[in-house]
Amino acid sequence: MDPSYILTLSKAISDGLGVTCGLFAITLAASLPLGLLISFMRVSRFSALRAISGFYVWLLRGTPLMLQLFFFYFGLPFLPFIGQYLILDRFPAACVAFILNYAAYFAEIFRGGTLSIDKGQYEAARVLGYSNFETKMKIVVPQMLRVCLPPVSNEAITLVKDTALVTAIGVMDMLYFAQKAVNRDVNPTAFLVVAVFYLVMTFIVTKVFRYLEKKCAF
Amino acid sequence: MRVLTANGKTKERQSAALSNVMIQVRDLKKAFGDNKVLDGVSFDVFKGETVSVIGPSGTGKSTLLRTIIGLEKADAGEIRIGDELIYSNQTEIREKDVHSAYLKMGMVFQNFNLFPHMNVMKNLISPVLNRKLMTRQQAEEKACELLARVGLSEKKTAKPSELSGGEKQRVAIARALMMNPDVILFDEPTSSLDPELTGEVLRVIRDLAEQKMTMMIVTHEMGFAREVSDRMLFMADGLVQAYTTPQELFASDNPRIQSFLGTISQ
Repeated sequence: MDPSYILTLSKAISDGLGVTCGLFAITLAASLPLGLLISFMRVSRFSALRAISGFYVWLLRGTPLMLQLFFFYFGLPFLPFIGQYLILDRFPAACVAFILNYAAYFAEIFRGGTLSIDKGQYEAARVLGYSNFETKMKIVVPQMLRVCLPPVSNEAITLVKDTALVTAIGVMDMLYFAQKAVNRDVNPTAFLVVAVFYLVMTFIVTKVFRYLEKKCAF
Repeated sequence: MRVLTANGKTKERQSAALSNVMIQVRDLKKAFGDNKVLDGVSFDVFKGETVSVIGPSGTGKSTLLRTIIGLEKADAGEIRIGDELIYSNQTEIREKDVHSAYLKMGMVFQNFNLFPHMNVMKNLISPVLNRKLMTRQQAEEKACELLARVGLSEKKTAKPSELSGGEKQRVAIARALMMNPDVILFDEPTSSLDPELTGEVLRVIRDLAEQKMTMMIVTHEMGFAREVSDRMLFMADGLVQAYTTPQELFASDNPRIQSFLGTISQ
């Protein structure tokens, strides 16, 4: 393998680095709080909220992410009446699909984490004068987030790799440029190079979460 | 000699205390399904009194404490804290109106229930800051004072996971004291401790008894209960079977008490 060719490929692929990292960061930043909100709804005392959030998780976890991507990019404009206002660019459409999809997974992780909090924590908070809302925000959620760090880290690593799906709707991410190079040069080396890019990214994500786990240990 | 003193003390308190009732429970009932855990419990605890609650397991001792402090909802009866009616099945009581009365009570749990994500200092100051009862500086001063009192000044920055069971329970007692309670309820405070660690916790409770904190203690430590209590409440079958001084209770010829004390001391 010619090092200068690999360097050329790396340069070409790194044109998509911003898009891949951007999609990763935007998805994580928005889907974590949204997932938290949905996990609250899932245990709400209002049955309507429980039903809506249950349906949401069922729908978004039960259909392929690729299909959701196609739906938000190609499908939305075809909706009757409101479709014409819902024409999204490639990248925003990808962001919406990823955020909504990952929020469903995070909601389930958070729900599981909340169930693992000991009943005694609620009782102690209550006799110390915490309201239900204060108990949730100050006692339960901080402990739950710590419990959920390993599964969230797992999802974040999956997310790094899932970003590659956006190539399918023509978003210019790393894989998009790699594939272009392969087609142009009739040489699959670009696939190996882009694999290294993903490996470095997942390595960094793993390390960051490992650090968070250590820092937030009880 | 000791018996006489203790008796004299109690009598004196009773005569002076009729207007001095801290906890008043009347005909309290609580069932879980068909199981009548409390089947019409009535008693008073006077200000400054230490009452231990004893009896065979499954007779509602813990449920009694938990019902008083509102962790379980009673089915019927009345509970007063000081002059305030906090539970009654006869009168409508709005939770918001009695919230401050509930905060006059602290509770210490068998499993400590410290907040694991906070260090010892934060465990102590967070509840009072959350309720805005003092400034941060006041809270920290008071926390230092209480930690010194329970012998844990060195552990301010430790996480609960770094403490022994006895230390955790002492932090839990300090945390309850932060709220300046009029009453502290102890639900088997030493039951999940290794035997060699119970002493340090009992010492703190004894110290509180000497300072006339009003306390109810569910415990299986008969020696301790006998020594520290002004009165002992013996429960069985969801009822108060006896409520008297340790001397009288231990001298009782009631067969149920006899057989219970017999099994315990074996």
